[in-house]
Amino acid sequence: MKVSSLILMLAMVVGTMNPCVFSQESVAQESASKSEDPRVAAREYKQDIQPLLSRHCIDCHGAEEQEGMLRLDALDSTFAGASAETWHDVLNRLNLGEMPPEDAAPIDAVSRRTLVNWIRDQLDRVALERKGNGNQTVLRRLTRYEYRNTLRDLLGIDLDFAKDLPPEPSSADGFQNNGVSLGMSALQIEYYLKAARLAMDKVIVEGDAPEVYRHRFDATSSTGNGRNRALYGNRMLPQGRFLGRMLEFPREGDFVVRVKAGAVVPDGMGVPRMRVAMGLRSDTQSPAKILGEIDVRNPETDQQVYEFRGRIEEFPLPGHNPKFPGITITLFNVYDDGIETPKPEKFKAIALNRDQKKQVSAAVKDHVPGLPLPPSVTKKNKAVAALQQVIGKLQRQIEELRLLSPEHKNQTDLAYRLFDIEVSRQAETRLIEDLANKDLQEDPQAFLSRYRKENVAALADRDVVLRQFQAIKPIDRKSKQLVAAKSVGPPRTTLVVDYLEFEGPIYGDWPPRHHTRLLPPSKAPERDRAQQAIASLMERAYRRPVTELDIAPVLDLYDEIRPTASSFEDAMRDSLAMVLVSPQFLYLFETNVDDSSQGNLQASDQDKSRQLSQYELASRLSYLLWSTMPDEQLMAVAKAGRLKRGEVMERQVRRMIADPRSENFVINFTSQWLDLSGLDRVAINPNYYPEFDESLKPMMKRETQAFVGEILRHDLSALNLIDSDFVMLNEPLAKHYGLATSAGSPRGGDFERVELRPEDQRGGLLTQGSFLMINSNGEDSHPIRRAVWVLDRLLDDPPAPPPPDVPELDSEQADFAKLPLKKQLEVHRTKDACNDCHRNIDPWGVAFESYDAVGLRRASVLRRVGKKTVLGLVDDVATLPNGAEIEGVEGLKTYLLQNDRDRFARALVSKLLAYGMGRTLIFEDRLAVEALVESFEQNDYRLSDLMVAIAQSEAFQNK
Amino acid sequence: MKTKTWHLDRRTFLRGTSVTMALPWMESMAVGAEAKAGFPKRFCAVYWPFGVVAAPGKEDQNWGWFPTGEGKEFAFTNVLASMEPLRENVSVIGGISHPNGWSMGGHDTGDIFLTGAKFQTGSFVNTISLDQLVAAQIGNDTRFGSLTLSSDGGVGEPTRSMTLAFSREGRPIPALSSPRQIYDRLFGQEQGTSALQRRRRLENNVSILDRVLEHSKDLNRRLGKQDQRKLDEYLSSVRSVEQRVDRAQSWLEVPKPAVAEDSLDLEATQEGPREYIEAMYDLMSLAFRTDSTRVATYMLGQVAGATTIANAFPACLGLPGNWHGLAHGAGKKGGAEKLGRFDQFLAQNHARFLQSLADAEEGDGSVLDHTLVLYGSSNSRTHNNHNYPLLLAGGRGLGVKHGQYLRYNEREMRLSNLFLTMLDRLGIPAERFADSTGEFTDILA
Repeated sequence: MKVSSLILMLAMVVGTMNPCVFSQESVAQESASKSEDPRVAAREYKQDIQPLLSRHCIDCHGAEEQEGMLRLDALDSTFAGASAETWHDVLNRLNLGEMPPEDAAPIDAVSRRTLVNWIRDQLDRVALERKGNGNQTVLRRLTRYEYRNTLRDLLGIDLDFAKDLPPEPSSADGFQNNGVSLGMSALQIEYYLKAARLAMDKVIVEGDAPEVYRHRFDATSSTGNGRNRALYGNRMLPQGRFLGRMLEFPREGDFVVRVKAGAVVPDGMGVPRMRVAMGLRSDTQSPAKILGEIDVRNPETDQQVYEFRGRIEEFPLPGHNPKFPGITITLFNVYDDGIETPKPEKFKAIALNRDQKKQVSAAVKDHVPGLPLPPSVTKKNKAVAALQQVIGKLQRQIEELRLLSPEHKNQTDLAYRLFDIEVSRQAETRLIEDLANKDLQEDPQAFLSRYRKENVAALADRDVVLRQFQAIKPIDRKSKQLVAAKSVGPPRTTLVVDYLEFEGPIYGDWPPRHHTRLLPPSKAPERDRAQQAIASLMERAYRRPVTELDIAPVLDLYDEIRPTASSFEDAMRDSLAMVLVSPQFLYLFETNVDDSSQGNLQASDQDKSRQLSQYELASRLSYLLWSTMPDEQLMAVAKAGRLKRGEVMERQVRRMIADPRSENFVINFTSQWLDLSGLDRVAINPNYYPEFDESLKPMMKRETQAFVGEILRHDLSALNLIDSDFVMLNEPLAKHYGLATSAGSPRGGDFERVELRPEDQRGGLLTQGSFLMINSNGEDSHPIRRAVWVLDRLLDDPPAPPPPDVPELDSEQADFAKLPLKKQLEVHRTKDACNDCHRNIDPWGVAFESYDAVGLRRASVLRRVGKKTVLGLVDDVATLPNGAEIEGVEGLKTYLLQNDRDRFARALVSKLLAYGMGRTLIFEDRLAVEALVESFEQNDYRLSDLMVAIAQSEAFQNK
Repeated sequence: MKTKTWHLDRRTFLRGTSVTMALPWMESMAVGAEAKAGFPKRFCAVYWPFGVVAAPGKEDQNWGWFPTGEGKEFAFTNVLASMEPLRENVSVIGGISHPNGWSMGGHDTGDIFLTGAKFQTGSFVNTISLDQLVAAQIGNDTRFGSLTLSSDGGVGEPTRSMTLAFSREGRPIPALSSPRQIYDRLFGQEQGTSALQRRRRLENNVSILDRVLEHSKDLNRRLGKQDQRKLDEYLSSVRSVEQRVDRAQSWLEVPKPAVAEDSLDLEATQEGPREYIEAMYDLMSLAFRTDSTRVATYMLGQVAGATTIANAFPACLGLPGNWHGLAHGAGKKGGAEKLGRFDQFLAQNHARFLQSLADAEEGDGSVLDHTLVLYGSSNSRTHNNHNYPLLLAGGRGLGVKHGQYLRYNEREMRLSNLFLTMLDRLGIPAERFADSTGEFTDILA
């Protein structure tokens, strides 16, 4: 390897080493006093430590060789600068038993303890010295999702104002809310400005209340085309739908959709799930947008009204003068019972065979009624010819029908035939009357009765034939209506819709509340109203009280704009937009001086840690637990100055966790910590998993989030994340995992707590589809990725990144593909360059080998070699770097709970603290983390208690 | 592959011979502060990650990315076969790279593809990218200074950037990734507002930004050093938007070029890479041909193995495995063909883009003749930061010659030299670019 890359590798090892992984034992121990004097410390190093390093480490980590890019003899023994973090890693390797390696001389227990204690003492000393230096959260702007939530809560308008903003980067530790990585650019300012203008256009209204549109649908607006007709209607089978088409609709404002519905749920089936979508005409291919989704559990006999609310601008609306005007609300029953709804057969007339046709022709000749014509009228008469033709046709229709059974399966054709016969009979009567009137100059009734008398037998025979079919309702074939195929098979889950209603825009009062909150009706002079509106918006936007100085620039702007503005309201829109692009709104603005003093920052205070103000703390807490601005109650507590470490803080945290907004924390923290967006990036290869349904992916994401949410809200132990006797599932996922057998298994699309039996082997995060699929390649497991995920996300000990110019893996060995993955990895590790790192990585991933890419258990592995398919063996027994042998995931879970509980606890504490403070933890945070880990352990690892402890911690409350 | 025809409105797109593209350009010249003689010069760069089949085995010769032969006597393999009709408009370049990238991780060099920067240990401070340097010089005469696109969007993170463009301060410039959003920026018409209302809006925007700038400066006094840097980033962003608004005001009277929405697949998403990549290229081509901008970059994908949407592109096309996996497997039996087929698909898209520029007449030549288009990756085979696969197209009207396959020894020639010469051809003389050591004369006519 080239020298330059060695240097870089060392830099990478140091740079990426995670500072938050601390020793397994607690810090306290004897004090660090004996090392305080630098001369004493230097002597101690020379006498006690250096010889130990020389004996056990320097062979591989010295001047000659630098295994793992580490050189210990030259590492600063005073732990200055970045060396502390390298020492820290050395401590971890010693503690984990990974060093010295198996093939080197073992280190005796006393020497190991001496070395470990010395490093730990030094680290404690340095941590204390550095505490309060530079560990600040950097001025951090709102993330995309925080911005969206905040504008919604600030203005009371539920529009996605962030939709044009670029996606956020993630920091090295996976979080999107890291102040350092959250950049700013002209593009963003441009879209912030655009969003601010749009928002103020919506918030401040002028003129009369807009017209309200109301629509009600008792039946579906469309029945689809012939082939999927069975899917449309008020009684919706799985995949069925019901449409409400509106030509007139609002283009702005909130609306509500109400559906009165019930369910038919046969025994053992799931409940119907109603999805409401809205968009352009369904046949334009333009995607409709989903408004909401809900399990319908109430029976058909007890129908209930379900309500969905939305903002019309968020939905695809037709442009001006569109080809397909109007919008459509579509109700779907998205429950999937795995049965394909039989498609009504495409209409085909019943075909008669040749013998039958002959039979018909002969019978027509025999049975066709004759006309009692006077000799003066011949068959050449046009009216006579027409009548005879109709009579002949009618007789043919009758003769054909005679050959068919009323039970014939093609009921549609029978219905069409009956209609046709009816038409012929009417024509017959009409033509007879015409003939009598015009050509015969005879009373039509008299002629008709003569006709009947002469053909008594033939006409009675007609009625006999027709009477057989009287149960069938004639259908005009022009209507193309088909008689539904008689339902076969067992009854199915059905969503029954009574009606669908639309109403919008809805705004309560006019002007709406979002307007009057800023501009209450008032007789005061315009400028006073302006000043009040600015102050009122700014106080909530800046999340703190505002002063004259804050208000002045916006009021100046108002004074400038007002004379040329078309109205007071228009001037207010532009002025208030300024508040929404100000840095005090866009950033969590934690200055280095107190709010109270308007003074300048003293040079000596530069980058020094300080306690956050009450308002800054309220914001930090709110963005941690809600990903949005503080509510009124939290602001009131801050105003009273009571948001401290004690009981008040605890009450607030518990209140906020109980509030539905805490779902933002669950979703955002869980997704970022565990990299759940990875699910969108895995393409499942249908050649390997033909049964896999893509709609399971978002459910897997939800499963993990719901699991974390359950642990948080029910004060459960975070160790459940490693293994648990319950999981959160919905019906499709339970089916996917093969857990849908027990009586209590979920029956709908909503997630429920499901108790596990030990043999289910599904407890904790590590056997959830999300983790297993994200760390696959869509065809097979990816043990290295799974290993890195466990080390990085769960244990906060990410391996160093790969070096430059990684050699290509040569897997052309015969039968390579048939080897268990574990053996394949062993082959790769025969290369020294790979082995250095991979011997510490691979085993963690091997344990998951009995789970495939879609998260299912497997006994063998399908692999493709060229065009051939081979079945490979599964071997999930792994030897961890410290020598511990584990068997499969269950073995790994047990191992983690028994041996790595502390490491996991420390990792979770570190991740939560980093997320809460919006920054990467550094060495100096060590003591804070240790203290939190201790309280976490004392509180039985309850996640909710940890959230309280974090909120109360000095680290969280300091800038 | 289907080829779409552009429907450009008569107002801006005069059907005819040599004046086809003249109108928008003339308009812009009237608006631009410094009207220069000659046709507009343009720059474009497209990047893809994970490298190619750089040194195929005997049986896979036809799936290697680089042509066979050398100089004028070369033959495209299957991969670049779609470039054959454009042979006299392109040069393939092999053997060169950014020496500063040699010591970086195999996945880390996308960041420096257009900057050539040397990352200091532990810090990832980048330098200005070629496109932004060009935009600063020739981007002032159009409605948009530059267009920054990528399949993943945003900025990503250091060493995993999702943009090719970096500002003068080395800050990443967010890339746009939604065809709909890009279309709205370039061609979207403001509905239902009068010119007067738009003017007042823009004027008020200036007032808003002015005041924000003025009063935010005071905040600096209360911030620590780190925070001041963050606020500076905000303030300089506000300042550039202010300039953009100024520019927008001078463009207010000029209607945006009318491009019919249904000539493009604006609803294309990354889940359908065929339609998506086509739409992104179409938008770049339209941006050039309507002279909405003269500088564009597109990062087709970035090198973060498992963490990008673009990584799933091959799988979405029905090719086995993801991009990273294909690149890794290129050395295995049959692997070269798999990666080669995907690279072929990418090259077809690129060729289609080049052809659309070649078909657009401009003066005696075409838009392509006045545009330098660089197409390349910063890996040869995956994880290897040497011997970049590069294809330079266009610029015959700028004194660039083509129809050749050039190979170099990496100790004697580097990518920054090519950048320096490209700058020169675009009328931007410079002493050096990044670590350049001299000119790249082999492409000079």
